[in-house]
Amino acid sequence: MSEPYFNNIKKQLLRADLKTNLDIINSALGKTADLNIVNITICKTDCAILSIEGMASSQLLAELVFEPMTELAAKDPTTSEIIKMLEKHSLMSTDRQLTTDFGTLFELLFSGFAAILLDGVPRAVCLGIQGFEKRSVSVPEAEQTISGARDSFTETLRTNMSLVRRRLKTPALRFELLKVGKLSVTDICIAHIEGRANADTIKTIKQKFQSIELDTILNAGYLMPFVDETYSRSVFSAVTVTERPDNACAALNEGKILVIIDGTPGCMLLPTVFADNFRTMDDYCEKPFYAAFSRWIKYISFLLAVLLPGLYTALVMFHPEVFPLKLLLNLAAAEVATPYPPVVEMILLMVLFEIMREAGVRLPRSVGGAVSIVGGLIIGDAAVKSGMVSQPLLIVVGMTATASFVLPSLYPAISVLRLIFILAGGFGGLFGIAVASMLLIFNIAAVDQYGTAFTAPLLPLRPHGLTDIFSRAGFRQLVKRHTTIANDNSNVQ
Amino acid sequence: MTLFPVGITGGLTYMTGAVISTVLQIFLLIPAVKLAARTRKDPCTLAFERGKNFGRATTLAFLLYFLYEAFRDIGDLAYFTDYFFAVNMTRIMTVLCVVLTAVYAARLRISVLGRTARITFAGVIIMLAVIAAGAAEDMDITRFDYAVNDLPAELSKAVYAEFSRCECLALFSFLAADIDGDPEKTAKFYLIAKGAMITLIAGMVTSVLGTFAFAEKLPVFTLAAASENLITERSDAVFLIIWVMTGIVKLTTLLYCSARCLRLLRPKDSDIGSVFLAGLIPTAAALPLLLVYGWEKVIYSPRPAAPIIILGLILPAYLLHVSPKSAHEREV
Repeated sequence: MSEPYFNNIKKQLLRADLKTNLDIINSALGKTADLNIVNITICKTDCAILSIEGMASSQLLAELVFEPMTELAAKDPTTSEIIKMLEKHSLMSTDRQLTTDFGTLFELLFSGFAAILLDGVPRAVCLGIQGFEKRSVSVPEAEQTISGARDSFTETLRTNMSLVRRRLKTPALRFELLKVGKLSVTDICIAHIEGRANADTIKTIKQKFQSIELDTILNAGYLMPFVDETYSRSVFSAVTVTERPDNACAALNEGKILVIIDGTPGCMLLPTVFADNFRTMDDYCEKPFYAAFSRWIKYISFLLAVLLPGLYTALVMFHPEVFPLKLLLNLAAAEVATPYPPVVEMILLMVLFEIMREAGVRLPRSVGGAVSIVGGLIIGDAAVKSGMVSQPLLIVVGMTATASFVLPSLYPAISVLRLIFILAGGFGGLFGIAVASMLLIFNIAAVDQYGTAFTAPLLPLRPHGLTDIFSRAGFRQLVKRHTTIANDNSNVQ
Repeated sequence: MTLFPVGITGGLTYMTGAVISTVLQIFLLIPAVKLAARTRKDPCTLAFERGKNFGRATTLAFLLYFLYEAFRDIGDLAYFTDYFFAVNMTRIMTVLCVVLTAVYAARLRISVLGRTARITFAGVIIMLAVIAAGAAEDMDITRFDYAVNDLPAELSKAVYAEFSRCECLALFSFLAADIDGDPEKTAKFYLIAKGAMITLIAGMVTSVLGTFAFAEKLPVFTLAAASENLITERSDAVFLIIWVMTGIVKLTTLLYCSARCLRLLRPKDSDIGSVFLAGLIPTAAALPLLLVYGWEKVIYSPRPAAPIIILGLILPAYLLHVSPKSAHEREV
């Protein structure tokens, strides 16, 4: 069946005649194997109960639909009495919707509803009896914390909404549902706190979602290019993905907007700033002095992860006079023994490291350990012993790799920037590093999302937001309205 | 930060001259910031509103000045990088790297340039702190040359020399309308910060190198090379990074302004086209001189102060005089 035909059917209204309705449904859905149609007759009224195999719960179908309908049949009702009972008097399900068109009927059926059609009635009563298989709430894998909560978002939209609602019981928390994707018809929920999030931003984001022409939305990455205003201009993204409900709630509290996508455990937060990548839930479980220390360690890790290999290459190749004499002699002895220039060694090792990391991520955990043994011990040790790479360089690569794991959300940007800095340092020395640094700063400064600069609250300077950037603000300060983003309502308590 | 003005011999005289020059610059910029606050338009656009030919002439004057400054900036970056730093790059490659980076950045919005400039400014402060900490042992107040033959003449020479290097007045005059908030406050803050920085650098260099500082081609580099700390033997690496970064920021701002002037003169030009053209002209002018090793003539050539006075003072003052007052001003 061609798609335009299907689209035409979707716009059509349900008929009064049950047989015609069923014919249209069968024709539109191509007698799909997972469509269950149960035909029953209550007194003289023909009824059909439609559901999708696997999407609706068989138990709920039996308990909430078949049983009451059977009981009703015993009372010998007329068609008008049946529809009146279904529409007004029955408490068969908490989620009951009436539909008059085929498009909505199909959407509800594929979302796990059961639809009851009666002969002579040009509408359907749809009851939410979802019973599809879903993963239960589990421990977050990508955003580990020591003291934070241990639950993470799942692939089910409603579960994710409940995880947020459980933490924010305010009536100001708003959930707005949208459907995106021509074929997938994916449910998307925009969550925000009324009065804190910028109303214009919410409106703009909704418009952007509604204008998406994609066929399928299978994860957050599909939506990012449409909502991230600087997606193709910068290596950094002002839209972050989180799997932690506590992080999401903290962001909502700051006036940010959360986008929950059905079928993906990663929810989008926007707009976010560069400094948000350095804040974790653990910071708020520790005393401020330690949280501030931990935050500075993260800033240093970012600089090390991006700059250290390039800086080492530049200094060893072009500016060795910078090193103290003892270190210089050691470095010279180590580098003389290797056949390749430091830039080639560094690139080789970095690429090798990325290959091992990629293998470790893709392989099952039991085999992943073997990769690290082969990579870390055998290749590393053998490379040094065979004289292919120098030992100091291996130390630099090790430090860089460890530093880059401190900030998982920035890893994609870090891994690319690191290679750029190695090339810049290897071919242009510190001059190259300076040029690359300028490009990096321009790149960070160029990200601007919904009126919030990525460099905020440092640039433009907003002292109130700054308290939670270089140190961790105390809870007495956090009691006051505090946010890292630009917000018209920023003074609202 | 690159080199001290030619002909100045005393550190203290130069520092005093820099302070006086800063005060003078703050006064000279008053018409430009008042014009920006009143009209929220750049002088070229205002000139076009008064007449097509007047607009063209004004824009052309700004364009030529920005291109000239970009030419000097590109040449200085390539020349000093080649002269002082062991970088295995040809002058053409150095110029290409710098210009392409500036062209990339000049396509962005002015707010992005502002943020980048502030980050670089923080880098300058960190660099100076590192250098000063490493050279603190060698600093001696007796190295300041207190003896001056003709104080008024030396002082006026220092004030003029510092003023003639103050291309930022023309830049401020052009960009003041783009400043968020009060242009006067921002301009004052910038000029005071710049004056303080120049005085600090001159003081640091003189306290270590004495009068020899004024014979050095890159005095801050020499100071940085003599500055050691617990981790590194010398701090010239830090200086090189920050010096190149500030050079790129300045070049980017000049190319951004040049491109805007080009678009005013040739409205059909695309953004990227005008930025490329703005980058191409000074590069094409600087490269031959750099390749035949003739850049020293440019470095030590006198810098005229007349364009700065015309573009930073006379033109804005005239436009301020002829532009209608705002309702608020009329009430006052």
